[in-house]
Amino acid sequence: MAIIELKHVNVDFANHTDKTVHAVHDVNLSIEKGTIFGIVGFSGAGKSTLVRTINLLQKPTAGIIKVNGTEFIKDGQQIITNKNLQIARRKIGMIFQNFNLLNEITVIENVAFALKHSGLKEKEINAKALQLLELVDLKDKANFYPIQLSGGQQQRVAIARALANEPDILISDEATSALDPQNTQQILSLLKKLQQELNLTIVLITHEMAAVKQICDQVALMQLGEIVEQGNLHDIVLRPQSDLAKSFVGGSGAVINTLKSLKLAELKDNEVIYQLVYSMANVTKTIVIDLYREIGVEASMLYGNVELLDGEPIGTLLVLVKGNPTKQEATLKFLKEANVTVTRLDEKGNLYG
Amino acid sequence: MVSWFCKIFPNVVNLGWLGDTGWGTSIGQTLYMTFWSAIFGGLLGIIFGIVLVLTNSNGIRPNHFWFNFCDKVVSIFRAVPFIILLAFIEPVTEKIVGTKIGIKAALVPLTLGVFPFYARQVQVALESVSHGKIEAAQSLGATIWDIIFTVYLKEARSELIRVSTVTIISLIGLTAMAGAIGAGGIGNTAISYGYTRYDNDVTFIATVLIVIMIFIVQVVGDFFAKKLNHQNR
Repeated sequence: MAIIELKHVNVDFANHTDKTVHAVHDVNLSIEKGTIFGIVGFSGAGKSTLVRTINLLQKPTAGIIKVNGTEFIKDGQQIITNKNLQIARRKIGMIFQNFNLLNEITVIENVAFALKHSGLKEKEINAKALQLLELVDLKDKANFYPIQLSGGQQQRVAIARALANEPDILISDEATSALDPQNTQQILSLLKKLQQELNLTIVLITHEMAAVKQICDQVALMQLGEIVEQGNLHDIVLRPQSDLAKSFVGGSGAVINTLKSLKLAELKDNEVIYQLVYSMANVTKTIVIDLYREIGVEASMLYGNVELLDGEPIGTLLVLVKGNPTKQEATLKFLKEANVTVTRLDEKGNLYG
Repeated sequence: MVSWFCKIFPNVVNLGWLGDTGWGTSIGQTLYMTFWSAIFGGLLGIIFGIVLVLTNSNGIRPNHFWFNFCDKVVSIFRAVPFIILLAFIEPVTEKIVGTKIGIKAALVPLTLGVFPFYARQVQVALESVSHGKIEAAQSLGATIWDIIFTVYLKEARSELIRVSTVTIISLIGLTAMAGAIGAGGIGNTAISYGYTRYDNDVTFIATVLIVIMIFIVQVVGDFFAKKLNHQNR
């Protein structure tokens, strides 16, 4: 059963110039219990606005919102009382890009703050807060102030705080975007671990496809307030349909950076750059060599990478193929038959055309 | 030393320490007025400041009526010059404290004179608390009281101390005018016994005393504002 259901959700903002901005437009999402659901898009796509409707930090202008069997919003109207919303929110944890810890109280007090209305006695609250800090491996920092901690540590405190009331859902709003790669890895692994141990449902918003690839089961791609494509991660990565999905799967940070640093001159007429994504299990052939042998085109490698997607190795290759139009056509046909997802890019790493 | 002081500041010494005109009396009056009007004006200012922030259109309890009400009250009282406020609210003063002259009577205009100034500064201080922290507290199911006390007031405490310091300093300035309705104080000494009698030495010492008072408030305020700050700005 879906733990989060959004139906025809709209969020409109009145602009200063009397224009209405559709931050979220007719979004339908159904998130199953126990999954890690990624919502990906460039900044300004409406991702944050959309997830904020789940715990009503953002009131939608239209639609239905149902969380954990309780209807919050029906036909755009709030039908849960504010008091009950407060209680319901305790079962929906949330972490933020800027951590949003309270700076004037200590780490343990930050966690204890979440437990203020838990009905526990002060002693029990403290014990539980310590236990939560232990879960994120920060028990020794209990009496520090947030400012004395690194970004990654602050985010772990925020996770402990968000999990204090034993929520069923954890919303992560760009939680790793302000962190360096090492801390990002740490937080993502922690989220994955917690998800499994506590049977959490995690909604993860990010603009980094790498984070999604690492931990998500399901993914939705968002652009201009709408969900453009959604499905399980494996399908989206290997068979992206929309341009947005292709640019995210394809134009991932590493690929674009590689192309930028190569500073390629403008491509000649007989040169084409392809990004090839394929499951290693399906493709045992040696693609680059086969292209030369069977079709007679030269394919020079610009970038190569293999990553694990839920345990399955997925290869990404960036190749520059030289050959006349007929041979280019044959190349495409060959690659498609070999079960390779082909995305044509220009010399700057953008989608071609 | 003492004879040297008597020689240079003869009129200062003549006023004495205690008694109606004494320095000790006027210092005590200034401290009394500053203290009590800081307490009453401070409370009013904090309440108005909080209501302004909460009921603002981007606050957590947007309410057009209450925002406008508080906003207008604060603006109107701020617009009235203090010396005119003293005279203007005389009937109200009499209703509240039973007299329209003297040190107790001065507390009413002082409170009303200082609270709008403070309310605006509290408003700005509270608005410096990032919206993200409020959202985080809301996402944890915090009540409005949790958000007021644990998030707004605590997170902005260093900034609040800073604006309180500024307010108390300007309050000390206002008490100097309260002499106009017979409330005494150092300002009154400077005007009545110094300026009007052409005793410049009295005016000089009165000024030095006020400056020292303000200096002490500033140093203490800065100390606590710094000590209680764990923000990363």
